[in-house]
Order: sequence, then C-alpha cells, then structure tokens
Amino acid sequence: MAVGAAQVGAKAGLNGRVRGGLKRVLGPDHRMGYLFVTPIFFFVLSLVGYPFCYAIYLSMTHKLVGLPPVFVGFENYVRLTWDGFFQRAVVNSFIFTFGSVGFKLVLGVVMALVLMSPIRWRSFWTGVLLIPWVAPTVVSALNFLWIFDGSLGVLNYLLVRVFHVLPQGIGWLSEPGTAMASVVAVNIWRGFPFFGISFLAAMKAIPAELYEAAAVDGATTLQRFRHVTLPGIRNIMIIVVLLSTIWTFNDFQIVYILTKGGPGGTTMVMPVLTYETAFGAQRLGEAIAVALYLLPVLAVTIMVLARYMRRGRKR
Amino acid sequence: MNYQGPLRYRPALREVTKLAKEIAEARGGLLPYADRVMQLNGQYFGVARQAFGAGLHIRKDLLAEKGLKLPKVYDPDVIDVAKKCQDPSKDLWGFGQTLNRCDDGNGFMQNILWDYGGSAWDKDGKPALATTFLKENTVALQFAVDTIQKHKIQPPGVMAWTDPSNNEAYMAGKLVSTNNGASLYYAMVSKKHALADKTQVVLTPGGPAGSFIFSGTYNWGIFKASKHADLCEDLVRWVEDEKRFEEYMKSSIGQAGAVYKARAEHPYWKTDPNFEGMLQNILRSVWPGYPGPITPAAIEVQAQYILCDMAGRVVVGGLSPEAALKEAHKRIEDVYRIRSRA
Repeated sequence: MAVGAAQVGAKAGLNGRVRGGLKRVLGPDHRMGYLFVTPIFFFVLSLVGYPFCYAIYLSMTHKLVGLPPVFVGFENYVRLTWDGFFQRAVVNSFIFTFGSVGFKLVLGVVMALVLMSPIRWRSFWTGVLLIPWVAPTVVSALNFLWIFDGSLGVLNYLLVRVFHVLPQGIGWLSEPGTAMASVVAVNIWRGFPFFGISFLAAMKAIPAELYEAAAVDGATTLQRFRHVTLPGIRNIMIIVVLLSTIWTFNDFQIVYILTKGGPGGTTMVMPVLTYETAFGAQRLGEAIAVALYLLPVLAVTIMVLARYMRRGRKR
Repeated sequence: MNYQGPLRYRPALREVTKLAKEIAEARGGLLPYADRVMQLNGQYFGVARQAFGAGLHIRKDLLAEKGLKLPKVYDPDVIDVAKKCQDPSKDLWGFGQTLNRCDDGNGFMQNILWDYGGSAWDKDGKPALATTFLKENTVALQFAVDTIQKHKIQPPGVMAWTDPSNNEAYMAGKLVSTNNGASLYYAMVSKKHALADKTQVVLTPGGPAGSFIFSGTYNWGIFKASKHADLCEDLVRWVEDEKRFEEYMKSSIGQAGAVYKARAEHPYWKTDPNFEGMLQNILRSVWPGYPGPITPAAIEVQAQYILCDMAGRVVVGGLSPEAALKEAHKRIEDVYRIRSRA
C-alpha cells in the first residue's frame, strides 16, 4: 500500500515537472495556444499537406484517366530524366524564367526611378503603367497573338507596310530565333509593372535625409543610386525577384495561348508540358512527375534567398 | 465527343453496342471509317452523329485568271498552282497549311504520311514511323517541310498557326488554297463573304500512294457512372431522329457530314457543287492507326501532336527529316508501351 502511494506520488511529481517545463517553454497559456493552432493545423494539413503527399504518391504511379493507379516507384522520374523532349522543356523553362525576370528587374527599377522623379501627371502615368499587370493575362496573350500573327498581325503590318523596315513579314512565333523571344517579351510586358510599383513603394520609404547627407558628401546621382537607393530597396527586390521567379516558372497562360509550346517544342516549358501530359496524353502520374521534378531546385533557391534575406535583416 | 472520345475515355464510358447498332441498322449501317472509330474489339463506346466534312478550299477565280486546272495531287499540282497564283509582294500566298500543334497540323501530317505510302503504324498496330515505313515517311516529311522552306508557297508565320489561323488568312484574301473542314466554307456562306462564290472545295489532294484522309467523327458517349443511363440512351435516339438531323444538316452548310450510309445518299449533298468534294472525302476516309487497327496508342499520338512536333523539329529545330522521324518514333514507342500496359 505504502509502495503504491509512493508510486502515485512519484508519477504526480513527474507530471508536475513536465507541465512546469512546458509552461516555461511555451508560456503560461500554452493550452489556449493549442486550441488556436489546431484548426489552422488541420486546415493546412487537409488543403496543403494531403494534396501534396497524394501528388507525390501519384507521381510514382502509372495513372491513366479512368483507371486505377499502379505503383511504379521512380520509373516516371527516371524516364523523364532521359527524355529529350522533357530535357528541352527544362532548358526552355530556365531561359523563359531568367530571361523574363532579368528584364523585368531592370525595367522595374527604371519605372520606379521615373515615377520617383518630379514628372507631370505622375499618378496618371503610374496608373497607365499598371495596366499590363491589371489586365487579365488571357486577354493580353490573345492580343499579342494577333499582334505577332505573321499574315494579319499589326507588328508585321507596321514594319512592312507603314515603316518599310522589312521587305517581308516575320513569323514572330514560328521562327527559332524569335519564338522564345516573343513569349519572353509578352511575359516581361505583363510582369514589369509589379516590379516597378513594388520598387516605387520601397524607394518612397527611404528617408530623404540619406540622400541629403550623400549630396552634402559630394555623391553623384549614380553614386546616390548605388549606395543609397539600391541598399534601401534590396529586401523588397529580393522578395519581388523570388515571387516573380516562382510565378514565371509556373506561367502557363502566355506560352499556351501564344504557341502551345510549339513550333517543334521550341517554346515548350514545364507547365505546358505538364498540361499536355495530363490532359493530352491523360497520363496523370507522369504529368505530376513533370510538375514535381524541379521542385527540389526551386525549394533550394527559395531557402537560399530566404536565408540571405534573414541575414540582411539581422545586420 | 470528338473522334478521340470513345477510345480516350473508354474506362469511364458505358458500353453502348446495342444502341449504336440499333441506330446504325436503321440508317443503312455505319460507314467503314466511322465504324472503326466508335468501337474497340466489337464493343462500341460511342454512338456516331456526324463527320466534319473537309476539303481543299481553293480560289477558282485566281485559277481561271491563270488558266490552271484544279489540283489533284500535292506534288506537282498544288505546288504549281500555288507558285503561279501567289504574289508575295501583295501578301498573297499559294498554300496555307500549318504543321504546328493543332488539329489542322495533325490532320495534314497524318494524311501526308499515308499519301506517300507511309504511316506511324504498321498493319499490326505497332510503331512504324522510323522502321517499316522510314523510307516513305522521310519523303513525306521532306515534302511537308519543302512547302515552307524550298517551294516557299506558305506565308510567314505559318508554323505558329493554330486551327483558326488559316481560316482567317483565307477570308482575308491572303491565301490561294488551304485545307480545312467545312467550317471555313460555312463561315463564308453564312456571312455572305465575297470569297464564298470564288471558292471551290475539292477533294483533299494526294501523293504517289494515293489520296488519304481522316474525317473526325463526332459522337455521343454515356458515362458509366450515370444514374440515368437508360434516359441518356433515349435522348440519343431522340436527337438522332432523321427528321431532326435533316433540319440540323441543312443549316450546317456541309459541316454535318454522313456517318451512316443512308445519310450519305441524302439529296442535300447534291444541292451545292462544293459539297461533292466534302462528301467524297468522308466516304474514302480511313482512321488513326491505319493501315493497322485504331488503338488507344494511335489516338494518344494524335492527342500529343507528336507528328506536328516532328515537323517542327525539322522546320524550326534544324533536324534532318530522318533524325526527326527517329526522335518521334521513340516518343511513339513510349506511348505504345504505356498504353499496352493499360
């Protein structure tokens, strides 16, 4: 009996110490914390965790529409690795993404600098420059499809008939040298206002005293831009580049509407290949493998950038 | 569904053999190509409704000006007509036929392989693009590419065209000829377009091995999981009623092509000289997979635009026709292997 009471006492003491430890680590109201976090946890688990895990499972299956999945391990990934069509899509995706993001970055900075300068109707120009970003992508892409059309497009009409720059029209979306450049150009046109407006907000937050101090020290305009403006907008710049890289890498609408990935796979990028594999070939397992193939690369890029940003903040 | 439906969605579709045969028998039976497309090993998964009439749309006024005859084969007829009638300085081009990823490109690439005695498939339904028919397919692919690169009878940008592009270019007066479904003729007639009377629709031209074409067969499918499958079958019977179909056919201006023998003999097809080419194209149609059987793999090769990609790799990618054929053959073998497992 005495032994039993001692055991009960020891157990109660242990529980008390654990509770005390939790209290110290999580705070006095940690029970209430669990209550608040639990719904979010299940929300994320059901809407993000489950679909993501199921997608990973499906990517390891041979799954045709209407038929049950058959587990094949890494076969889809191995097959894709050696598939020339997929390899070209990977290369095209990087050209499309980094080509677009690079130009958008430069144009965004220029746009923000122009809108920071004392020009007339600044608000009006800000609104005008936002139009490409605000307009639905489908509408923009369809308009560019007409603009680039070799026979009926306005671009060839201007170059050949109005300005007589070219003797004959160019197949903007059908020539090897211009097809990718054309889809990249549309993506730049659509995306640079986001860069510009974000940089503009960041530039407005830089204290005017810094510029005044730099001017007193005899800094030129270029030096003020390099040593005051750029460091001032660096964090925003990283976030914007990070977001745009993800969005551009996953951009489907522009390429699909303009070229469908053609001609001959010249503009085939990963999202279009995913769509074609899923809905054209109806191979859902392989399509998900296409979509997930570069996920580790993107995840590492995001982690590196995020760490870089955190380091900047600590300083 | 379009022609790909019965085989593409087969696992999700109800078998409708009894209904398909009942409707076909009352209309003199299915035409051979439509019969092939609706079934797999004797089991029907679609009830045929109509075929999309097609043909070479050609400017007869321009041919008359030059004293030229209507073309029957691509080489040399279409090439000659195109070269003699076109005037690139006025942005008028002899032939408008994309090889790009779209139904128009798919159809042409498939037909041209058959026209030159080749195919993507052999008689047993196995991949043959760069094996059994390598020689024939190489010549066919070279010809398709030559229309753009050597003969220069196609407008700039043709490799970026999608399905409506040639319709728009033709109606804008920028083409002497183009292959298309009856939708182009329908658009011109229904809009009273000035080119409607100047257009002749003739049989799709052929090659050394003959003149081959595939006509898409639209059809009804019923989902296996449907709770009211019997009512669906009744609906199909009601819609396919001959009087109702006749009304529909007469307002479609050549688009509601025959899939049943009795409908092919309807006097409507004699009411416009342009309907003759469309009807004859339908009557001599073959099927995806020809000369072998129609298979889910043959349908998937169409759905993935593999033949269009092959042409694009030569025109834009700079590959030789033989290398492009071998590359495409590998993709087709993959499709065949995967579909054979299903």
